[in-house]
Amino acid sequence: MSIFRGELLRGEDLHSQDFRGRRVAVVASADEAARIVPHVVRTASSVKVFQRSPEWILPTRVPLPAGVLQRLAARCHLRRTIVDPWVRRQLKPIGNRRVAVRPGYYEALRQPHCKLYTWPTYAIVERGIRSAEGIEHRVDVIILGADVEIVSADTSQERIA
Amino acid sequence: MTYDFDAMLQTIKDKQWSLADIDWDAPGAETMTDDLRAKMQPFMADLVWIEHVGARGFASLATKAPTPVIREIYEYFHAEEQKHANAELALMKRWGMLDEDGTVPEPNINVRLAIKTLDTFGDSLPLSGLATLIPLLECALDGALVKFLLDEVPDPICHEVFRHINSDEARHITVDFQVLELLGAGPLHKLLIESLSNLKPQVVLGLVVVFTPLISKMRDNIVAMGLPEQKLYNAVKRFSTIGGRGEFTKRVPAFHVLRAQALMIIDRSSPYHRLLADPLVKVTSYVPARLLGRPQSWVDEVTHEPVAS
Repeated sequence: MSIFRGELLRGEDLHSQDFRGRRVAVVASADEAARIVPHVVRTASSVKVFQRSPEWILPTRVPLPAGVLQRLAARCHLRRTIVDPWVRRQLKPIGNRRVAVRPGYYEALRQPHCKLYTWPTYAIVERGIRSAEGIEHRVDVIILGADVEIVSADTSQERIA
Repeated sequence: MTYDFDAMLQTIKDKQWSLADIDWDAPGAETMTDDLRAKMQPFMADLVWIEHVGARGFASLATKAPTPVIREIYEYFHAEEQKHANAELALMKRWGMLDEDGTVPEPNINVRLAIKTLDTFGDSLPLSGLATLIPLLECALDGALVKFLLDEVPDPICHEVFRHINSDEARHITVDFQVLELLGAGPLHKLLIESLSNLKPQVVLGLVVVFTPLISKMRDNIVAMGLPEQKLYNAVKRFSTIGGRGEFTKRVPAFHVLRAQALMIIDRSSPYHRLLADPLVKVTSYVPARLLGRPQSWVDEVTHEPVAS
């Protein structure tokens, strides 16, 4: 097995990229994924979002003081936008009180060619990415969030934290 | 001495394996005879679902983990239980136990009840209750069933898969009991308050109506295949033995409640079987599955395909 044959992107300006006809995996925190996914989903043929550290997300700034009220608004936004209770559960933060303003994230996740995963990812291999539920997800492009740390790279595969 | 959860997390990361590592077309599938296939099919279907339900249990545990490291460990365990379900489904496919489309077999009613309970109450169950229940189920169901499978099936791929699964499960059980030690070492008043919240009707009802017949149903399946139920009892006994060794686990009231239940399970002469467990298996078998409604979408995640495009 050799290093990933597709395109590995990290920290690049994705807005100049065209993902037409390509299968894309995004591995990032909720905050970063929410910035990346709405753009990628427009052109990619499929998008797999491996989201870590969920956060409260609002689609736009709201005239509410930071804190409980903003979180409440974010909770309402999540409930209204994501119908599937299991997906909603995966997007709900545990103990994280931060509210980020990121337009279009939940709408992107609702697209039929976009799927959310919360499995830990542990290796980038020749043809894609492996996650801890035992499946190799074959993709053409992998986009890593800035906080996704590559902890070691052996001869066969890159392992990611 | 406090347990090093950081080191365990690193070990878990280092020991990851994938269905793609396994040669599912390697010789050995022919050792599954028609007789054995017919006998094993319902058993394997139950096993897949039990792993899948176990995965959902860890998802709930992750939301209430006492530290961020333990939360991350639980997130891995959630995925690993799903991996075990996927791998067992792939074995079913290899042995010709699935139809051409690889359709996942339907869960039995006791598994459906467990799914419903976890979907409805899993995330609101107190940590000490769920953290005690999960190792009981892992010892009882996983341990006994997997051991039985290895005794029965000569296919080398089956043994390769279960070497991985057993290695994962050993880490799950170690962490399960170390978390109980951690909880038991906490302030007594906190333990008591949390334990009182375990007495919520949905918790008690969940334990009695769902998990009691689930374990007994498994015993019935094992006996129906001509196997001594002692195998299941030995596995349940492990829960009591390992927990009993802990210095602080004894301070967790939920452990005592579930240990008492475990001891009744392994005593076939106990009125527990005659008056509670066996009648519940019978009663629950009459519950129409449609009454329970559509489970949440996590039940659709199980797959026998090692790669996904």
